[in-house]
Parts: sequence; structure tokens; C-alpha cells
Amino acid sequence: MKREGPIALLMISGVLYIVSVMLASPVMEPVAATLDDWYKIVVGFINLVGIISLTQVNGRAVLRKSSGWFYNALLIVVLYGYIILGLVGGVGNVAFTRIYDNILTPILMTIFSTLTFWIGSAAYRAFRAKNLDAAILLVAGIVVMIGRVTLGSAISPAIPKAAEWILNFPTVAGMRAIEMGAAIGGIVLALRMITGLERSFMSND
Amino acid sequence: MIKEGMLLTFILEVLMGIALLVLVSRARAGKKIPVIHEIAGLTALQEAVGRATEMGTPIMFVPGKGDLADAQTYAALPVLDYVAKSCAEYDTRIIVPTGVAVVHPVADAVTRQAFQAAGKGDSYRETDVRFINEQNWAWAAGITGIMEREKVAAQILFGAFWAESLFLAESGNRAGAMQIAGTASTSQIPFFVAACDYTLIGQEIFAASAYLNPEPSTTGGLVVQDWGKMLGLALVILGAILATFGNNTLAEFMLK
Repeated sequence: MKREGPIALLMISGVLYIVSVMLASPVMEPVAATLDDWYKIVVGFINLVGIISLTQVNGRAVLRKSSGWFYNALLIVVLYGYIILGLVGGVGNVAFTRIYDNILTPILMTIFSTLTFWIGSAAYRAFRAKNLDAAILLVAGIVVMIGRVTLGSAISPAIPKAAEWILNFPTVAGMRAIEMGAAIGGIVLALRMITGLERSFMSND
Repeated sequence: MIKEGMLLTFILEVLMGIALLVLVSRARAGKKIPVIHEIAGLTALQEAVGRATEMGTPIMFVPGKGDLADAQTYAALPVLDYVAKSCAEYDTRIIVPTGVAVVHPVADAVTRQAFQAAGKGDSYRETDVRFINEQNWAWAAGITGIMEREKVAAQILFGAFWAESLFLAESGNRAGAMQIAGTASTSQIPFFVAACDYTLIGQEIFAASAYLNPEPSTTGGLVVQDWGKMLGLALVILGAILATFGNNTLAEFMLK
């Protein structure tokens, strides 16, 4: 029953959801919206699980005085301090918004900005012409890069046109083929779950 | 009555559902079904576990940034189950950093049950399945930190990823970890291809569960997936020919 109950629930809710999305019926139409609302409520409660996990992992490191335990302690103080600040002062209070806008956002943007360098190092490896495929990728990459800046049209008006062609035809064709395949894979996975055939993520026999 | 624009999807789902049930019953009855082709990235999962076991360092399994409304998350969980079972068998540590609170308890349960199924329930460390942050850059920075501190031997990235994909894959590359990635997020596939040793592209991740657990109920699904692709390809070719000759019958039918 521990396993059959959730599978039965999954099958019923899956079929109801598909039917409500596909059928133009006044009775069925609100079903998908209601199930979406239930999901949001469950997600709201489950955020607590995340907080508990953070507290467990970092609290244990502090108690054991593991290497760098000061950072674990800082995380716990900031986590609960910010929750208390939001609960007491409301999410619109000045301290709450300033901490978010002036501390968290710049830190996150700093991490984001390092992506530029990662792109450089990944592109270097991807563009090394070790075989025919990599050589084609290299040529296409150079044409697209030069064609997207003014240098491309200064060299020849054909380069921006070639760049546009690469982006609009081979790239779009490849992307759509992957998207179609993934959509079909998603449908089959959903069908396997709804019919109770896919249950490996639920429990082990 | 079917909603506008949903007729083709409805027909496809019904056809694929029927094909799935027929193939599964055929496979269960011991009748022949088409053979599954090999997916190098999935075969390499054992190599990743072996590498971590030899090096005596952990494996990192990143289940993506999708929530439980994302099919890619469900595609990643059976892979986590498989990797966790292998890790348990070889007494290798597995770290699962989650970035979506709703996925965390599921990832925790899958990993715990995999250890229990391998008879190593006591070896499971619940702090190794850890929630990092819902914010993707904070999550990615947390994973990078764990990667550097724990000197992970292999990183397995499976599920839905956004801009943080390259950050994770390049950090893993810098740390010298063997990397296997799988995603259907089309904009992130090139980054994984450039930075990882093996990459599963698009629908391959949905085939992973069936490939790793080759039972009649799962292999039937794989065959239906391939048939669906062939049908999609046939429709594309037919639609292109008809449109070239000015006939929009198929395009109009698809919009019904």
C-alpha cells in the first residue's frame, strides 16, 4: 500500500490533468488550475524542508568545528536573521530590501560575470580542430562571430549573410529536432508514469 | 470536444499510449521487441563510479534546477537511483546538492532507498543530500565549493539546467572530475558538449531509465519513443513536400 497508494494517486491526477488540458469542457477545465494550485501549496510547505536541510548540514559543521565552520555559522545567522527580519518588518521594510539589493544581488552578479571566462575556456576546447566535426564547428563559429560585428560587413557583405544563414537554418533545424525528440521522450515518460510502468524513482523493490 | 490546437497532440498521445501497452504486454509475454541501441553516456556511469571508488573520493550527482513539474527532473531521478545503488555497492560516497526545495525530499528518498536496496542503509549520510539554495547562482557557487573541498572524482549533471550549466561543467573540468551530463534544455546542450566527457542530448535522458533498468515495462517505452520520433520525422518530410507544392492540408490539420 505504501507504494500502490502514491502510484494510484499519480495515475488518477495524471489522467485528470491531461483530460482537463485537452477537453473543452466546463466541468473539466478548472481541474488543471486546481491541481496547479495544490502543487503551489505543497511547494510552499516544502520550502521548510530546504531550511531544515541547511540547518542540519551547517549546524553539524559548526558543532563539530569542521574546517571553515565560521562560514557555516555565518550562513545560519544570515538565514534565520533574514527570515526574522522579513517576518517582523515585512518584506517591504528598508533593511530587508537593502540587504537584498545591495548585498545579495551584487554577489550573485559577480558569480554570473565569471561566466564570461568560462565561455572562453570552453570555447577554446570546443574549437580545437582535432577532427572534421570540430573543424566545421570552428569555421561556423568564426563566421558567426565575425558576421555579428561590424568587422564582418567591412571585410565582405557576404559574411553577415552567411552568419544569419547558419543561425536561421542549420542551427534552428538542429535545435528543433532536439526539441521534438525531447517532447516525444517527455510524452512517453508521462505515459509510463501515468500507466504505473515507471516507478523506479518512487521506491526500490 | 477537443480544444483548438490539441487534436494532433491528443491523437499522438492515444497512439503512443496504445503502442506502449501493446509492446509492454508483448515483452512481458516473452515475445520479441526491437533491440535498444547503446548510449555511451549511460554506459560511462559505471566508469564514473569506478573512478571515484579507485580514487577514494566522492561522486557528485546534480539533479538539475527543474522542479517536480518538469519532466527532466523525473528523467534524472532513476539515474540518481542507479548511481546511488552503484555507489552503495562499492562503498563510495555520493553527494547530491539540490537547488529546488520540492525536489530535495524526493532526491533524499531516492538516494536513501538506493542505499537500503543495496543492503547498505547504514552507510547513507543524510547530510550528503543537501539543499543549497533556490537561487541558481548561489546554488552553482555552493556546488563549486563542494567540488573543490571534497575533490570529487566525477560529476554527473542530469536534468533541467539554465545559465549555470557552463559554470558547473567548467568548474568540474577545472577540478579534474570526469563529467557526464544529460539535459533536454536545448540552449545548454552546447555548453555540456564543450565541457563534459559525455553528454546525453534531448530525448536520450528520457530513455535513461529504460536503459538502466532493462525490464519489459521500460524497454517497451523506449521503442515507442523511437517510433514517435520516426512518426515526427515522417510528418516533417510530408509537411515540407506538401507546403512546397502549396498544399497546407497537413499544417491546417495540426492547428485543429
